[in-house]
Amino acid sequence: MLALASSVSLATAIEMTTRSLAEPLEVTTRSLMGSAQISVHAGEIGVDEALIEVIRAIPGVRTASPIISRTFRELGGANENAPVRVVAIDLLAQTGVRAFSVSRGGLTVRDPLALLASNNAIVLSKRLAQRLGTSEGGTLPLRSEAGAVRDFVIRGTLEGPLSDAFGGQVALMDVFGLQDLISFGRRVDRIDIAIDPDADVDAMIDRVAGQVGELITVERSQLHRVGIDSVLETLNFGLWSMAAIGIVLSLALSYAVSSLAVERRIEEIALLRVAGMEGRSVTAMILIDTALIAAFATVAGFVLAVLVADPLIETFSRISAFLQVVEIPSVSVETSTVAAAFAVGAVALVAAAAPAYRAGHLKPLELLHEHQAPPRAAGVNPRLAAMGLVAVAVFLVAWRLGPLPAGLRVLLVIVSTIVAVAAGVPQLLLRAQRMIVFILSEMFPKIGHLLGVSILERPVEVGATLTIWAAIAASLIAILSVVDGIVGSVDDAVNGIYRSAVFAHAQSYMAPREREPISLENIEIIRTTPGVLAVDENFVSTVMFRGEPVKLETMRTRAVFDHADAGSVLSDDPQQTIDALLRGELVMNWAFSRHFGIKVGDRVVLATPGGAGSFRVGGFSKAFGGPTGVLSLDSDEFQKWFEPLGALQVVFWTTEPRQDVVDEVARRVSTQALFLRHGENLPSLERLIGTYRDLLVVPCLLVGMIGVVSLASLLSGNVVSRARYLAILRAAGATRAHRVSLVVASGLILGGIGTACGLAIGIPWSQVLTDLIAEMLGYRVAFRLDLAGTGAIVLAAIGLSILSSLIAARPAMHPHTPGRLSLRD
Amino acid sequence: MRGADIEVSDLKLTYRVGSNDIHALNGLDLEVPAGQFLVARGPSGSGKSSLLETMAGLRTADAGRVAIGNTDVTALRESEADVFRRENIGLIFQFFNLIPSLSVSMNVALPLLLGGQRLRQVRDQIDHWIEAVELQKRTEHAITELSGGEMQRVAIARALIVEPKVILADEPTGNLDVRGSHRVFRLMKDQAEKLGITTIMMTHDVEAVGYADRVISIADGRVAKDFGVAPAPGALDDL
Repeated sequence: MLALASSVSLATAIEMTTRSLAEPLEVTTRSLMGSAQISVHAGEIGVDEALIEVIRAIPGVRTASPIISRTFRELGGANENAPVRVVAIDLLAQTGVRAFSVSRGGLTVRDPLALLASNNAIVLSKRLAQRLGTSEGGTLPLRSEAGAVRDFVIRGTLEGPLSDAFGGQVALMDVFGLQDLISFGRRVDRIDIAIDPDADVDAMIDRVAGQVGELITVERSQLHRVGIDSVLETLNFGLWSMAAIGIVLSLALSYAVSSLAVERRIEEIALLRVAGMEGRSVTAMILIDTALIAAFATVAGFVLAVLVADPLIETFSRISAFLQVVEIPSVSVETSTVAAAFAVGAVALVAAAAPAYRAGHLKPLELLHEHQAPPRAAGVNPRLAAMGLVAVAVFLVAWRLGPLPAGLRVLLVIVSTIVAVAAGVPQLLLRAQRMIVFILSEMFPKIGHLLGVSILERPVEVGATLTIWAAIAASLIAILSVVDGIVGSVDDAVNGIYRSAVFAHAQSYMAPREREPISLENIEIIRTTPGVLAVDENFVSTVMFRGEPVKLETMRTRAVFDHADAGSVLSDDPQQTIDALLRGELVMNWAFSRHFGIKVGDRVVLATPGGAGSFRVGGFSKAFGGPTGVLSLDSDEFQKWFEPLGALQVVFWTTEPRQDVVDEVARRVSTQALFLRHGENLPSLERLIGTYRDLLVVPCLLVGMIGVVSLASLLSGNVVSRARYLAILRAAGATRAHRVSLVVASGLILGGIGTACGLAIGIPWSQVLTDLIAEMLGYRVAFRLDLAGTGAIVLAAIGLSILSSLIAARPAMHPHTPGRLSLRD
Repeated sequence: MRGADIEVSDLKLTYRVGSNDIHALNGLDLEVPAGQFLVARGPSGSGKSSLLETMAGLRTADAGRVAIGNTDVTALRESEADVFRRENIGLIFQFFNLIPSLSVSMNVALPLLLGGQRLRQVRDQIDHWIEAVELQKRTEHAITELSGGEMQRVAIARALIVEPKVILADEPTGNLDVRGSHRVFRLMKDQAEKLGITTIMMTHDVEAVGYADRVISIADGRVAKDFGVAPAPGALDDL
């Protein structure tokens, strides 16, 4: 019951957490999208506002509404730097696209434009106004992405669904006002199109695409989770994987426990059958018993989940704050939460179905014979052995077949290895029984022979225990390896290229994603500061390629490769790639090449503010990015095509003493507060990764708890069911030490074999998960096995198996136990 | 003479069953000289099995004393009692109480292995005792492959392999037919005589009397009657 309760709690807590995360993001997207069916966009550079009129003129278009959305930061006060999301729309053309209203002095304003006559007029959501403590007519100073402070005049209160976007931390203004404030030229982020009721969406997409040109993306509006980063998706995946493992463990445990329960009640069942109980009633009786246990465990697990969800959501909030500006509410219990809990609880019933059915179909006399006959020694089951072999074959194919999608490989590898351990390993042990008994007898002369046979006489328990233990060990090893792989890969790249560099940011490294860039003026100040040898400003943009967003970043090629190891950032032939960058060619990372099938030498066409740019791909980089990959360009070339406001990161190399030069840079850059770091890059990254690791600790602990409970209950069941066996040993002169040693050694051996299986399957799990992470995150993560961490897991597993065994051995320690009357039965 | 004198004095044992106290042994006194083959009879619930289990150190008496040779069994700590039993007492039960997952030879060897001896060191002893109970052809058979009589002979071999001072047998023929019962009685009697082992056998089987040096009856947790050596025919009819 405890194991089942743990599984229920794990799944329920994760459901609450992920839903709490997803909900505000979907509300935001829905509010911003309104009733639009088609979106027109071109990545970070935006689309020319002239296209609005072009689109409005297309037959079938009811309205085309531009939108710009930017994050500003609060100044001063307790919420210094807290994000305020400013959404700007064309108020004149807004009718019917997005649902909102504006009130002033408690009265709804019919013509919002009247409120927004000046280009710095703004309306705040009620929630934001309350947080800021502002009033209508007042002035609100906010800092823009570029670091400039702007004063906004508050003209009213935003109401309706739009005011719920970004968790209510939203302000609305006119699109043309915001264009001026952020120097966005005559561009907008996106144009949302609402079409006539009788118009066909796909036909309209084709029609609009024909008018706006091939570099602009026209697509059906989707409920994209705004701001959800692939990292967060990966975390979700990790959490649900842990939950799935927990559920599988519960299934295995429920099956084993139900089988044992039937076995222990065989006499009762036989007598009931003899007294006239029908087979189906026996089945129903066992299922009802299990259902009651499952119901109790579900309720207990549910309560535990509510307690566990809070720390989970807290950790998620920390990550969310890094990734985006959407506020995550506290956890809430919904129908889906209850459904998740009961779905896991139902697993117990599913697991009990087979033993219950079996019990119901045994003949009464067979049952009595079964009870009276001494237990039969277990033999090799050819079907299970064959199943184990098939599972091993599937594993080998899935593990080594690269072309399969990473997600499918992960699924096949995990399922096949679990089946191999559950079905195959006990059969293997039975086949090697004679040798095992001999070895154990030599190692432990007093109890070795008993150990060998007693462990192997119950293959169901052995299979369930090994599966549970191996899955736990493998999960922990896989998580450790994947995290270590990510940290290690980032570490190699960052340290390889920027080992002796100084990093400058306009905000803390751990600040939210939409970071403030360092202005071009300040970059120039850094460049001309005495002692600065070279500067590499990293401009970053998102461009659309074949309708998908791709990260475009830059490097000051000469500066970087005069001071850094080219091999750590460029693949293949670094010199050839450097030459390509200097010629103004693009360099792509592995994920871009893989995702779009682009080879070195191909040409790609990108939409830029300066028009369509055709670039030759001159080589490979080891850059980090999303699933669609990363393109790199020399900074000079980038500035020819794009109009950056500044660089999110500036890296520079200095003469020694470095600190003096850093201090001088900080002194000279007076318009922005720079965060300057050197020699501490890795700790920052490790803190970030540590946050992810923290998040995985909770499910890991829960899965670990399921493991301990499982092993303890299986061993306890073993002790209780073998009361007579232990009584016989006692009659033959086995001391309490013998009996306890027997139980503890059984647990230790099972735990040891399970851990070894976990280690064996944990390594391929880690490898395929690393591939999956690479596919999801869009950069190569080198597989690394953290030997120290793995060693710690092995020791912890052995420690836990001893703990579980000691819990189980308690009945065997009792002076008159086991089985007061066992010897007379 | 290998056997030991047994002295049981004022032995009391009470079980608590629900809210009731059951006085299984009610101040029982008994002396058995070394080498004697004693048969104890009595109705179900008279305290026979409780007496035997208390003598073997498997139960702790509420009061009284059990001395086997110079050892006060009732004064031993649990672990001391376990070791004493392993080295000095052979136990035989109605339901054989063999370990089904072990072979015949391993069941016989069990007390020696628990005492820390290695299998290769005790192979000759195992063979000797398996031969003594005439199961040479069954040495490596599984217990589940044996008949009831064969299982009990394995149990006897296990009890004898440590060459104990005392054999305590609780209804050893309760699950056997007449022929099997006589074979078991004969085997126990022969070995007891040969080794001078003190034997106490609790049984309902009237045939056992024919092998006894002395017969007693137990009722209500006490020795009800001591028939002495070789009771006259018909003297036990009322038991």
